[in-house]
Amino acid sequence: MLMFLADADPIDEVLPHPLLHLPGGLYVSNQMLMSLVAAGLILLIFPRLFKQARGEAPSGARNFFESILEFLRVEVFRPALKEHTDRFVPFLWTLAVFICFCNVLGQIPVDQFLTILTGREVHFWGTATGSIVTTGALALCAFVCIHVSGLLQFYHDLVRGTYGHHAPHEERSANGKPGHEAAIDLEHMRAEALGADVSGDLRAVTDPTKYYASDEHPPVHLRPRDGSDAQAGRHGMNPALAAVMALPLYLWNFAPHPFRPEPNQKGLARIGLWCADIPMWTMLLALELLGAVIKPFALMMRLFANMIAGHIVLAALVVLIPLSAGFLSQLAYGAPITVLSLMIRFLELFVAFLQTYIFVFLTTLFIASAVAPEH
Amino acid sequence: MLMIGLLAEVVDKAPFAVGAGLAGLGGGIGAGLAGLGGGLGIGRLAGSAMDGIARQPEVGGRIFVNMIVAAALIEGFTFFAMVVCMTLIGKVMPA
Repeated sequence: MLMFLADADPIDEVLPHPLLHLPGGLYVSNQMLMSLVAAGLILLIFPRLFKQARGEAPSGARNFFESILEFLRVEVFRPALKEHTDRFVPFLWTLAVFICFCNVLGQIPVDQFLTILTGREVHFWGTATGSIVTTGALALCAFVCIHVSGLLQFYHDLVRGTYGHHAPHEERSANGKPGHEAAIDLEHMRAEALGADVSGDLRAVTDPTKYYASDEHPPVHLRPRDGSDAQAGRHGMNPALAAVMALPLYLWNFAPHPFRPEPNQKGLARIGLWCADIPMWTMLLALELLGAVIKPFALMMRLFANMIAGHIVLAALVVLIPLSAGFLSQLAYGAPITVLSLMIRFLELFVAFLQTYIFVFLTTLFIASAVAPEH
Repeated sequence: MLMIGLLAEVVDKAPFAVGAGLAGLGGGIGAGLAGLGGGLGIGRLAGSAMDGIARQPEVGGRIFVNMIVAAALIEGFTFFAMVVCMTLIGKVMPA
């Protein structure tokens, strides 16, 4: 029975195996099944653990997942996305958890155990992210999220009348309520306790009585998120026109303008600068559009290649053992290769977690550059 | 120039099909070059990280984390080259 495992092709761990043949030449592969298994596991574990907000400190499995997810939110998402964090945390957390489960499940050699136990060749386990189609789908989700969020950001800016305003990024959550972690937001928690308002308007400092007495200037974090802002000089665009103008303005701002004239430059200097700016900007836009396609493509390739590389190295090593003739020489080859394989398995496990982090970190950076670009 | 001329002569006048073998040659050389590039890049990165940790051991943890992230990114496109080479070699193997 042990001979069955020795008979198996070590590269089988990497290749997709058809499990169910569908009409039209398509089939359900073991890697597709693995993504369903990962999704099923996630749906089993997470809602049950996190259904209610507990008052006391978390423990056990809840603590484990919460520490990882909170680490991602506080150390990775919030520094990049700042006030837009809460909008993207669900998507980014789902992405991270799904990729992590897929990667780690692929490292468990269930196939091999079942082959030894049952004596038949079993091929229904695999790495879901070891299929370039799965990672391509994940990269496509990231691409759609990045650009749709960017377009929606422009749409909302146009409707609210804040387009082009270089407002400083608030360090708090996006839903209007201040962030909850006092350890992070201590200044804001203190400011709220004191009733102080973080305002960019100098009149709040020079004439605070009049400024705060009027109802026209509610504090920054209590302003309504829709277009009903009563601020003077802020008139929003008609929503239908904003929907039409969002895409052209997104493309206009997609690439930087190297020779953009200052608002106070007039006349010939202004025309001259625009004449120099437009050709350069067109080239930069072409490069940026290429980059917009290449970055998710690189995400896809990086995750895919990292997931299968470990298995391929293992296969290349293990296939050396039966190549040599004689039991004793195979044993002599086998012992160090087994130890080396164990080390490579550890490395693969590490790479599984690291690649999750890299994918999610880079997606966060791309979303931040679309939604909250640094000036 | 001379070597390219020689290669062109071989491709034209050989009595067997040279194309698939050339793909295999390209794949092998490409994989080696990809390994070389990745190794050089990550080696430099590791050297700079070691220097940084030696200068300031107390930020060693942060330097290590950033080093791992940068290594993963460099390895990303090394693996991309490797996948291209594997595709080439896949064309050569007797199916």
